[in-house]
Amino acid sequence: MEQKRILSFMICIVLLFGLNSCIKDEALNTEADVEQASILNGDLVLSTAPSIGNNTIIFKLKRFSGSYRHAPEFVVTTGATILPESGTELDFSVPQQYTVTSQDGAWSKTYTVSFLLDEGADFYAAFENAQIVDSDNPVGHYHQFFELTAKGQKNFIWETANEGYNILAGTLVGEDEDLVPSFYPTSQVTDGYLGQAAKLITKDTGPLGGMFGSPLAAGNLFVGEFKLTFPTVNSTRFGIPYNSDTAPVSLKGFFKYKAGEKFVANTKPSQLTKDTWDGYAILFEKSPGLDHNFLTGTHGFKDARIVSVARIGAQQQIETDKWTAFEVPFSFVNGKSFDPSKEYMYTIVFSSSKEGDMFNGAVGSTLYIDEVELVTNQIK
Amino acid sequence: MKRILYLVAICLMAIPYAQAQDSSSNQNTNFFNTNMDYAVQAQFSIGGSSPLGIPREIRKIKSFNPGFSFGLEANATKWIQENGKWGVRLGIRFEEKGMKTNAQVKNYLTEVVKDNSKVRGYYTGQVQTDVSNTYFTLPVLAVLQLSDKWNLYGGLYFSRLMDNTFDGYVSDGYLRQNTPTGTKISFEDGNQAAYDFSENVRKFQWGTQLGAEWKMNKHFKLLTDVTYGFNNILEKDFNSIDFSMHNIYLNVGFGYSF
Repeated sequence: MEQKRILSFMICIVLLFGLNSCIKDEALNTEADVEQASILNGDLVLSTAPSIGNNTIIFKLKRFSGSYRHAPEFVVTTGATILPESGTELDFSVPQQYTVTSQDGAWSKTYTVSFLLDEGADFYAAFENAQIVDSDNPVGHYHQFFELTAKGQKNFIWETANEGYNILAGTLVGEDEDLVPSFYPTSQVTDGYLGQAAKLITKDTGPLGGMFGSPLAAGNLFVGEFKLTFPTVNSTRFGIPYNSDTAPVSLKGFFKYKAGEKFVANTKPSQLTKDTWDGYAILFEKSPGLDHNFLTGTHGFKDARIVSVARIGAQQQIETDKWTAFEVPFSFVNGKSFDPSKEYMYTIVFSSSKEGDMFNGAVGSTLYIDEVELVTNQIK
Repeated sequence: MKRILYLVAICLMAIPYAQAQDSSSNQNTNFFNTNMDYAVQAQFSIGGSSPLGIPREIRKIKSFNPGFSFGLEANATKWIQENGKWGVRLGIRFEEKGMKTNAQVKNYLTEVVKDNSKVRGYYTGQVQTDVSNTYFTLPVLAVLQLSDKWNLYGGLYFSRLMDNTFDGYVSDGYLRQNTPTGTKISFEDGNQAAYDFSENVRKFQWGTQLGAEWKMNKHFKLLTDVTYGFNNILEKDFNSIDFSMHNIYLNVGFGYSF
């Protein structure tokens, strides 16, 4: 009897310290996020789902309705508040600022909300315009390319993985280096084929890279959206609406390339022993609704929605320090053909390491890209 | 494999005691064979490495598996009074202390550190923790003989870490870098990020032990005790977990007195 009592007493002590009986009351939420954004009849008037970054929200409108007055609605972190309030009608001929304050009142975040008339890319990219994104947490400064619409609005067609690299960038800066845009995998340079150009360089991600799912960061540049997730290879969301009545014919542009010295294969088997670059364009079917209309970095050209592909080959995968033209034709895949009555998405992707999606490459491999055109033979 | 080695080590160390006991009748009495008990004992431990009072960041403990940890001890008890009521017990013990837990946390301030690189942030989501540490322990105990059948014992123990595992992974959640409004790194769709703090397990532990033993007959006894570690099981300057975790274990075992 006595033994039993002692035993149960001791079990109680352990349980007392250990388990759920001691869970405290939940603290108030500290986050101040816009989790969802929408407008009335969004499915009809928007060309893509609203893009929600950590500090920016962009609505892309299919066509101009005659007014820039909109009343966007926002869902914020539980308990947080937003000013101006969700549903307030404002003039979005210029971007508007919203401030979200957390439930506990201690944290707040400002969002820049813009409405953009998505005239569709004119399928030509000169990489003349880039803005510097100044991130506070973590601190970072990197380039983001944009095109100007006829109305002078910034349209972010080309994206990079710089935001992902920025997670670790501060830990990777050496003593004789600065945390400046040129330190990042993708940046704008002045000595282009014509005017400015894009520079893509494969970077080391340091000791923490592996833990964050990226033992190597190839410089990349793609048409689509970057939405940070883990592993980072899924953060690249390739594709925007394809606004042309004819099938794409070819992908062309100018490049320079120098492979890094030491090729490292983090994911085996690798098809390569020396690093090389990649560039391709994909046309794929748009699914109904606004969500999931993208290919992630792991698509491997196997997605069933893919209609046609244009990809550079051995002929272009050379090292050269002179601007060199490339043009590669589209070919239909999966037995598909182009139907002008259907809606499509397209992407163009460049990488300074061909197997960058598998984290195989050589640190220092550098690709310069300029004057990229998706040839469609569209009659305007 | 390690467990077997420790078992062998304990047996080897126990042999001289047993031999000393056997030959005692032929010799003069001395300190080591007068009012002296020698015993070997084996124990199972259940418990965990737990904060004292669960921090507010831990919202739910979804699973807790203490596992079966094993320990072996050899000890000697010197009865210091003529009537043998009080004694002092010294021992050596190899013991495992381990657990597996899965918890839901919210806004849990953590650091991911490797080779001088550091990412700091607030994590919300699931955390799986697997702990399995082996200690070489010296218990120093007072023993009180309550009756012919019962002894109480209590005192301090001092442990040296022999083998250490403290790892796990985070999943179904996100990290906000630096502040709750910083860059959001999501871990979705079953993707996990592994962590390994094994190198940061503190090498030295000390704590208190309190228990009772029941003598079945001249040789065999059953025993149970609790051990509580005074110091954090992780190193003092380790910041990835911002609260102290203490080893708290219930041990149940049997012993053989020579």
